[in-house]
Amino acid sequence: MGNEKISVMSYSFHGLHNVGAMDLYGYLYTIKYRYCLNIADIWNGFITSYEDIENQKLKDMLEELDLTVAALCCDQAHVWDDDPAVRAANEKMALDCIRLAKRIGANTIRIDVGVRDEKFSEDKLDYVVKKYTEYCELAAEFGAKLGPENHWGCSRDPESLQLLFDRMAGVPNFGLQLHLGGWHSGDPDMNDLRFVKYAMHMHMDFQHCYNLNDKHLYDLRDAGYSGVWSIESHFGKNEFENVAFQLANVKRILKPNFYQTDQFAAAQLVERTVPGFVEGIKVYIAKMMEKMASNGSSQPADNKPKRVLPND
Amino acid sequence: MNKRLSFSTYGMCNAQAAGIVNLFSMMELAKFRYHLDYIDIWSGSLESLEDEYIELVADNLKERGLKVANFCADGAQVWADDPSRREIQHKTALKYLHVAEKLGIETIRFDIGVMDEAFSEENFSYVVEKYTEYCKIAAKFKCKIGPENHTGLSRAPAQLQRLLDAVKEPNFGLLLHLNGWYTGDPDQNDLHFIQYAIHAHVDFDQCFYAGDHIRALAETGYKGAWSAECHHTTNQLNAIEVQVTNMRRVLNPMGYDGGWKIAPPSVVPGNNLDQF
Repeated sequence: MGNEKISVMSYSFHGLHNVGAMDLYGYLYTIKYRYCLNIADIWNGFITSYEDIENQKLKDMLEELDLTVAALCCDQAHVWDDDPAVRAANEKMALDCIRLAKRIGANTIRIDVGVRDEKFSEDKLDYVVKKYTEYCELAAEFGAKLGPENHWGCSRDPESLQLLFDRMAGVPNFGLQLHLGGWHSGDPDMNDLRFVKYAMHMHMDFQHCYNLNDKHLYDLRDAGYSGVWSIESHFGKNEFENVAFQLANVKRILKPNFYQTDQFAAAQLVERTVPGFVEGIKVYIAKMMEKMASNGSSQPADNKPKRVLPND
Repeated sequence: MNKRLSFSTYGMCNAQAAGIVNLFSMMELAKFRYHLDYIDIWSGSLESLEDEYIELVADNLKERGLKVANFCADGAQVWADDPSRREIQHKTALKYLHVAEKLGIETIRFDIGVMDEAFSEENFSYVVEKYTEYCKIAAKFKCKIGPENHTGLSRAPAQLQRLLDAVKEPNFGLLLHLNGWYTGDPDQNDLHFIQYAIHAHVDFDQCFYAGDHIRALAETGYKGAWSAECHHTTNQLNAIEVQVTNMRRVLNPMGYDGGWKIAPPSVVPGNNLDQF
């Protein structure tokens, strides 16, 4: 416990990017100096050029900041599209992204399946398997893993995704970018646990970070997940603060620091400047206990309102 | 203007007892981990009340550009049933006032100290007299003083109201401990008493579930700091980060909206839903 690697995907700042307040380099400085992270998770919406000279500039900055790249998430590179022209353009984008990933040393590459129906047809599945196999061979040359994310189209259907993984079983660097809870059907947590064995990387949205029930994250970790736990925020507004909170809560759960101290630890600290304080506290506690006993209760009444998780 | 955020060093008392933080490293965390400009100093975080130590504290606050929003001063509660104990607490209060002046502290919390359910005439007049005396001293260095609704009869709204009505000093106020009430509707009590608030303590749950209630309190015109107070006894540094970040998220949101009006075409062509 505590060795879990944490990152923030640049998509989390797409709102700032859309209004012109954050570019790729701004994202890198934010994760390095605001959030003190050393792992980047780059969404290609922030990439303005796939030319070698631009890729080299990015690589140089990653080195200057001592950042590694856990994932390159590639949009408009999805393997299947019903429109053959889009399919061809996407293939070019996929190859550009793989080349970029190689240049910047990305550990994983996410390229979406692209099938928008709930299930694969045989011909689409064949095509998708063929292309993923080709892409995985290219990624294997520099030790990267590559695969889809369960976040749109048939990738959100557990059975379709299973079918794809079964067909890709012979390709060792084919993996899943596990989008927690990103499922069309079935129990979301159970699906996460079922597919975590394929996970090469993980995305956690606001609701998954904003959860006082820590058990699900512990279950995923105990299932053997050893990739990066990456924050993703979808709101498009107030992103610096939303991400900060998501990160803080994930760190609280995954990287806790448990220590034990004496029941009177706080009072003993006050005692240093106020002699007799510990004794005073003991008298106070005894008096409170006596009072509660006379009221017939062992604890003070809890009359606080029960709050619900705000959905923003 | 952004709402002022702080955290109480009391929230790290167990970490301090375990030897992994002290007041100086708490300042470092406030500034560089939590990105705060304010800190609340709980008296138990002070190793000494001697001038030399307090000057070192002041120097370290200044270096980091930190201001002390509140001094949570334990052991200086105004009332004690035992007169000799009362006198000791009075002397402690005077020492704390000296410390507060040296550190330029904005507000001080001295507890009432009455543990019964209601004031007696004797302890009420004594408490009013002492708070008045302390307020006059604190006014010289522009500091506000008052109790916190977190222990004894300060948690009884009617008793607290009586006290707030009786102390006529302009720098007398309340450290509002959100939902720290024995009786009545906690949120309604908060909304009533925030008019007297010189400072606010927000516990883990109140921060974690921050939403409409905190926004409603903020909209009353309250100008004091919002301070994260953690009562967990372990994993405190992480818990406080959660508290501070969620208060900042709710109280100081940025105004832009860069959300998709049309989803990325790779997701669903022509989709006009602002979501996946």
